[in-house]
Amino acid sequence: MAYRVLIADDSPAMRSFVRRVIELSGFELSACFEAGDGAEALAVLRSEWVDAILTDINMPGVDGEELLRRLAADESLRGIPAIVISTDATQNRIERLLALGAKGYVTKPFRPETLRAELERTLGVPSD
Amino acid sequence: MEQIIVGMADCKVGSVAGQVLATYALGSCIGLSVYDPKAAVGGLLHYMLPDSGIDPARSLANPYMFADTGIPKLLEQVCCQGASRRRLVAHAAGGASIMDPKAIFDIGKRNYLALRKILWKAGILLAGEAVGGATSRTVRLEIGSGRLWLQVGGGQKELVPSFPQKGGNTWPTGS
Amino acid sequence: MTDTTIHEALSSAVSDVLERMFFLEILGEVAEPPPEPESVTVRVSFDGDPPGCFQMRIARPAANAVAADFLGEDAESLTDRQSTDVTLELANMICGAVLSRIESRAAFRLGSPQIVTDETGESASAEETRCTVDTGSGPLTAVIRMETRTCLPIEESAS
Repeated sequence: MAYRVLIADDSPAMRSFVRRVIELSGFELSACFEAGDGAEALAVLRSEWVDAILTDINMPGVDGEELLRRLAADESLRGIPAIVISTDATQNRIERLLALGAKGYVTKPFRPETLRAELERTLGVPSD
Repeated sequence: MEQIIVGMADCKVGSVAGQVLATYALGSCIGLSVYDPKAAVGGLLHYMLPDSGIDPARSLANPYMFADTGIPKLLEQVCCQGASRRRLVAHAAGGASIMDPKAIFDIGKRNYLALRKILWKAGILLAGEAVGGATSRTVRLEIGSGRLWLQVGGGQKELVPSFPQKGGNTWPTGS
Repeated sequence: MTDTTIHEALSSAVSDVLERMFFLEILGEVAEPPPEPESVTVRVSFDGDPPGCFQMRIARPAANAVAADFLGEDAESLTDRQSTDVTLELANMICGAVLSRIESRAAFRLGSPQIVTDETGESASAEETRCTVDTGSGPLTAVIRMETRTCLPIEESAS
């Protein structure tokens, strides 16, 4: 099975890192969209379907938290699982984002295997 | 069942069902096991130090002594026997602080970080690990089934059952 | 919050980020060298209680080496753009890791990391904490400046 994912992060380096982890975890990608902020992410989602969204929180303009709010408010988008990847490890923030609908949360810095485990928990183990 | 011993600064590859690759006394050293379940080919490397730059002449004589020369060799050899790098399932054991309980020199940790750096660059994520602590470990890899055993102290446990199975296998930290 | 607690948060954040995502072992702090011409400085401002800014200076060879490690590439094949992008993200991660170790009543919010050429302090009232480590390819100095002391110490969370 091939997957379509969207990675939202204002750091091109982190987008590359995350994409590499996804691929090395055995998830074959038929499409990998990248966005530098929440507004770009929403623009992608207006025309493309994805199986998962991986999003940073601290982004300029529409940040990750607002992105989650808008996803939850949109009937056509709220079913897409979103994994948050953020430097903020405070419990308050994590609980708030999970309450907004995030399916997973990975704190930077993280081991690649930690993100893989979160991907498998969210998407299931990739099939050959 | 043919047991093939992997000594210190050594590496062996197996491609015949029934072979068991085994390495003992993993203290600060790292035992890296890789296995391709489809090709039924596996390899086991036991290296001692992270960086061959400290003794390039020694690494030419024995690349398996160092992480940066031994790991690429291991991967090359299993692939020559028919394994695919993308299918390799990798596990690591060792990296302990046996003679260095306060971890002043921390060779074990340096070995472990070297492993992670090299595997990341090689495009391989660990499926499981049993590293750190202060206990010596033994690892056995069975070719054909892909079963992997870890021995710590007096106890032995099967940590990777026979293939086929999906997903990563996480060994308990400090096991 | 004491200076010792902020310093502990800073040094453990630096080590944690470099170890976990860049596979570098940091063997403790070293003396801060004078700024080299060939070094890169990144600043990250943050809002919160207290507000302040974080600054990271890294020798360029070290920046290239850690960028290669992060991306899983050879240093020779990296572009300047890639090296800069990773350096910015490294500063962002260390800053976030420090602030997550220092709890306060209000949540911190990080600005975007920026390359700077002027390293002078932003505020005369800022409290400054510094930490320098050897990456193996050159020094990295992290500095955090916080304008007031109203934050409460917490125990470092396991992760």
